[in-house]
Amino acid sequence: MLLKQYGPVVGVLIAFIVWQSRKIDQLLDRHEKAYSGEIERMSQHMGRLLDHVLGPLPSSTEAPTMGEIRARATRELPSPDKNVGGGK
Amino acid sequence: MIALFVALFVLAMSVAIQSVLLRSHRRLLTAQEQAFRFHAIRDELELMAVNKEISPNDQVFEFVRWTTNVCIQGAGKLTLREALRTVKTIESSLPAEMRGSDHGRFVKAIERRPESLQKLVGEMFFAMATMLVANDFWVRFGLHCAKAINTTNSMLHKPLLKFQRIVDSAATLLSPTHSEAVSYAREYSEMGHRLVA
Repeated sequence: MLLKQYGPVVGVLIAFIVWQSRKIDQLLDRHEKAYSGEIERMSQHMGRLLDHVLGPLPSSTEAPTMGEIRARATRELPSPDKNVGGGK
Repeated sequence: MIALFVALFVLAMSVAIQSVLLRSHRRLLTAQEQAFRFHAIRDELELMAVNKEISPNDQVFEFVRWTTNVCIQGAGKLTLREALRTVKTIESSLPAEMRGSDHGRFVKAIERRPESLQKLVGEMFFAMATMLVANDFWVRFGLHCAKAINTTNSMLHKPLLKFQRIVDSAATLLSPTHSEAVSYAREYSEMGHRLVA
């Protein structure tokens, strides 16, 4: 009885909520795509201009990662059996 | 059940209000998307000048730069009449020796330039066609119909072209502004295709 009375209205309301939420979601996706795309394009453009003015410069992708820095630091650490300080 | 009903109703109303409030943001985003497109074209053109692919004194360089600047100012924010006025101003700023019916001379002049510049100018015409149709449903509809008819390769192509001519002349009488905008948008879109291909 209750389902017959309210069922269609609840169904319409749920459909409306889903439709509007999707619309908002699409708008936010569009916003994200437009602005992140523009930032990416601008940074690439800036890079190409700087390349022209200063010549090719090392990029951040060529920089060592934290893991590599740690490994290098560990390699360069003096071994415990060496007498570094020159004490007795 | 009534409590659930009330909760759903309140939720639906709040989502609807949010959607209405975001309407202005949608308009702004559409304008920004178009402006970003023209920014990208202008930046690419300037980079070509920096790389000496084109001279900054070249008439095409000056025309494309000026056009993109005008379009960045107005893209997405103009009404149909204003957009048409802008397009006419752009048309009148074409170098004198490149003016002529159906942009034939202009396209020939562009085709003598480097391929990368041809593609860039093609992109600019696509963006201009988008700018014209962006804010008006009927102009957008007219452009899509014309494009669909042009790409039809079936037996229906000729009758559809005749029908299109009838609709065109009727539209010219009923709404000259819309009709003019559709013809400009079609022309720019065709030029864009020709230059990008």
